[in-house]
Amino acid sequence: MGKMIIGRYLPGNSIIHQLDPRCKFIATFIFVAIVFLANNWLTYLILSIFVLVAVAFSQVSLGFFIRGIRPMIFLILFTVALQVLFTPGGQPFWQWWIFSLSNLSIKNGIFIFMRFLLIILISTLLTITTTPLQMSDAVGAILKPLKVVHFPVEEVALMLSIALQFIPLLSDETTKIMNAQRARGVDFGDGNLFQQLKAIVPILIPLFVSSFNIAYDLSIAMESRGYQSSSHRSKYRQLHWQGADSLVILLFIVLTILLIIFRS
Amino acid sequence: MAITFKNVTHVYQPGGPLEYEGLTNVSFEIPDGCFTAIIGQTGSGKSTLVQHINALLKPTSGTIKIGERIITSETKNKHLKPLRQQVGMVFQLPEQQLFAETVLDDISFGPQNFGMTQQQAQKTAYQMLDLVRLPASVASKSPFDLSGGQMRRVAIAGVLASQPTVLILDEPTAGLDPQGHQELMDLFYQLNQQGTTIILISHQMEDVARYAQQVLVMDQAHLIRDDQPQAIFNDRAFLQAHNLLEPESTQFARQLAQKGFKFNKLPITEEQLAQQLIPQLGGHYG
Amino acid sequence: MDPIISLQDVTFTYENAQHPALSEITFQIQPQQWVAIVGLNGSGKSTLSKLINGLLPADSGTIKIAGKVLSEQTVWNIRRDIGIIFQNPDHQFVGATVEDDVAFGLENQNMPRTKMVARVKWALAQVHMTEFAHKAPQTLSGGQKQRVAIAGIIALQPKIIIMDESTSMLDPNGRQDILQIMRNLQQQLGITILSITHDMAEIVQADLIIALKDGKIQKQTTVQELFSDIDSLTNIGLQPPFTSRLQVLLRQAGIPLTTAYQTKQRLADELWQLHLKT
Repeated sequence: MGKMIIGRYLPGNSIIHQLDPRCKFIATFIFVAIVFLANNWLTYLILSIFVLVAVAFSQVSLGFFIRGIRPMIFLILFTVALQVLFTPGGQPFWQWWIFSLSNLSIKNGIFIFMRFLLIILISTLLTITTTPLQMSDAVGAILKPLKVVHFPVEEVALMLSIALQFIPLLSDETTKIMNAQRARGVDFGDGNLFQQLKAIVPILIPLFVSSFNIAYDLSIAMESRGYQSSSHRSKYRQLHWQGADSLVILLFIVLTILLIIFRS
Repeated sequence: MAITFKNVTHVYQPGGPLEYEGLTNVSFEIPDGCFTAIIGQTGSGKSTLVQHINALLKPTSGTIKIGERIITSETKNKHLKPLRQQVGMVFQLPEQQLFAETVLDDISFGPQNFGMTQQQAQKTAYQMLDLVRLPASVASKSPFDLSGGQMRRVAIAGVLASQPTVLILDEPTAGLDPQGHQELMDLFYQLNQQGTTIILISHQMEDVARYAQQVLVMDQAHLIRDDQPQAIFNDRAFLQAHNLLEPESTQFARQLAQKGFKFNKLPITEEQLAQQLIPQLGGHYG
Repeated sequence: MDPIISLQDVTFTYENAQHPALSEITFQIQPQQWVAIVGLNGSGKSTLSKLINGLLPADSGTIKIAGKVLSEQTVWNIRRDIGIIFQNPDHQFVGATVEDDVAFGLENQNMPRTKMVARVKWALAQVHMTEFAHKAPQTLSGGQKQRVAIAGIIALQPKIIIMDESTSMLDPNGRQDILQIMRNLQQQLGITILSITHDMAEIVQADLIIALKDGKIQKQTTVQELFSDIDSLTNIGLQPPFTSRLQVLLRQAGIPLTTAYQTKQRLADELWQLHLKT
C-alpha cells in the first residue's frame, strides 16, 4: 500500500496538465453551464468536437474516461429512459398506457444522453489532469472573495489540503485494521445485515481512535511549529496564471457565442 | 504446522497504472516448530510475504501449503476461519486493533469468533493476561486507559488467546523500552519451546542471531537467501551488499580478530563470543 | 556560560490524574550539549518535552529558555527557539509536498516568499533531500520523512531541537542516518539537542544523561558513570550496553576486567593486553 492515487489523477505533462487549476475549474463550470444552451444536432456536434479535442490534448487514453462513465451508466440510462418515454408531442409511432415513443422523444433522449456524457467527460478531464492539491488550491483561490463576509478561506484551504493528504494514510490504516481483525476471525461481507453491522464495529472504533491520535499529534506538531491561525501567514505555494490560461477562457467564451448563434 | 511456498508471486493492483510485484517467485519451507526470522529493508516484501500465510493475501500465481491446506489464487474467501485460528498474526503496532469496552472482551474476541464459548474464551483470556505479565485487575478496564506498553501486551494476548500453532510477529517490540522488549522476546521464545512455530519479522539482528533457527532474507520482492543465522551473519560481503547490519558480537569479534584474536567461526551472540574469547584470555569457560 | 535550558522545581499533573506526571524537576543544560533523557515508557519523558516548549502548562516551578522565562506572553517567542521532531513520521507532515512541509513553519512566521524559497532550499540541502523537494510524503521512507521533519525545524533556525523518540519507528539504517545528520547539525549550527530515547546508540553519544523514574529525576550523569553501575540501569528501564554485558560474561569466567564502562575500542585494547600476558 502507500502507493494509491488519490482521486483519479493521472500524472502527465500535457498542455491540459500544465494549465492553472483555477483556469480548469472555471472552464469546467462554464462548460457545465453552456451545455444547456445546446438544443440541436449542430450545437451538440460543436460541443462534442470541442470536448474530444480537449481530451486528445490531455494525452490520456480514452479508456480512463470511459471508466469514469461506467459507474454512472445506470443513472444516465434511467434518466434517458424517463425522458424518452414521457416526452409528449411529436408523432408517436408506439403508445402503451401513459408511455409513448416518438421521433421527438427519441431525439430528446439522445440529447440528454449526450449532455450527461459531455459533462462527465469534461469533469473527468479536470480530475484526471489536476492533483487534489491543485484542486484545493484552486478552491481556496476562487473562494477568496468570501473573505469579505469573514468566511475563513485560508483555514478551509489548509484544512482541505491536510485532509487530502491524510486520505492515503487513513486508507492504509483501514486496510491494516481490517486485516488485523480478519486475522482474529472476523468475516466481512458475510452473514445477514445485523452480523455485517456487528463486524464493522471492530473496524470503526480503532479507526476513530487512530484518526483522533493522528489529529492530536498533528495539532501538537503544528502548534510547536508556530501555527496560531491562518491570519498572518505568508504563502509558499503560488499559482501562476499564464497566457495559455487566458487563451483557454477565451476559447470558452467563443464556444459560448457559437452555441448562442447556432442554437435553434 | 509446516509451511511451504512454491513459486509464489503476488501482484498489487494488477492491471492498474501502478501495478507492481510485492513478491516475485518466492519458494521456501518452514518446518513445524521452527523459529524463523525474516529480515530485509523496509518495503522489501516481508509483510506481504507473511500475509499470505493466513490468506489475508492470496498468491497471484504459485502455491502455498500450510499443514494440509493449500492456498492458490483460486482459493475462496470462505472457510478460512480454521486456518486463521491456527495462524495467529501480530501486526506492527498491534495496539491499534483494540476496540472492545474491556480488556477481557478484547482478548476473548478472537477465540469467540473461532467458535469458543464466551465462558471458555474469558477463562483463556485470564490465562493470556498472566502469560503477557499483566495483572488480572486490568481485565475489567478499558484498553484505552492503559499505557502504550500495556496496550501492546493486551493486543498480543488477544492473538495468543486463539491458541495458534503458528505465530507471525511483525516487529512486535518496535517502540517498547528495552525491558518490555526483553520480556516479550522471552515470551515468544517460551512459546516456541512449547512447540509453536514462530515467524518473526525484525530489524534487530541481536534477536535474530539469538533466537532464530532459520533466516529468510528479502530484497525487492525476492527471497534472496534462506539459511541459518550463523552462515548469514558470517557472510560479511552478503550483508554489506544488501545493507544489512551484523550483530554487535560479530562486529566486535571482527575488531578483535584484526588485533590478532583467533575465531574458528565468527560468533553471532555474546555467549558465543565469550566462549571463544575466554580460553584466549587464560580463563576457563563454563 | 548561561544555561540554555533551565528548569527549577517544575511539577505537572495531567487532568484527572492522581499523581503528578512530573514532580520537582530541576536541571540545567548548557548550549550545544547533547542531552539524553531516558526512563521507562510512562516515566514522564514526553511530558517533559511538551512542558519545555509550553504545549503543556506547568503547575508550578520555573522554566527558562535562552534567558527568557516561559509564560503566556513569551511562549510563541520561545517556540521559535525550540523545534521538536516527533516519534511518528506520518503524523507530523503538514505540507502536501516535501518543500511545502518545510515551508510550513516559515509561513507561520509570515516570512516573505523570496526569503522562504531560499530558506527551504538551504534546509533541504542540510538533510540531503533537495532532489525530493516536489515529492509527496507517502512516497518517502520513514527515515526520509524524519529528514524532512528535521529540515522543517532547522529552516526556523532554532537554538534547541528536541528529539521525542524520533528514531524509534525507523529501521536501523534510517536510525543511523538521522543520528548522523543530527550530530552534524549540532556541531555545524551549534544547536542544543535534547533526545528522549531508549536507543543505546543515541544514549552513548550524549554529553549528559537525565534519567527519569516515576516523574522524578533519578540521576543526572555521564555515559561513563551511568554504564559503570549496571544494577541501577534496569531501574530506569535500560539494558547494559554491549561492552558491559560482555565484561560481565568474561568476569564471571574469572577474567580480571574492570567494571567501568568501556567503549568497544578501549575494551578491545584491554582484552588484547590481557591476551598478551597469557
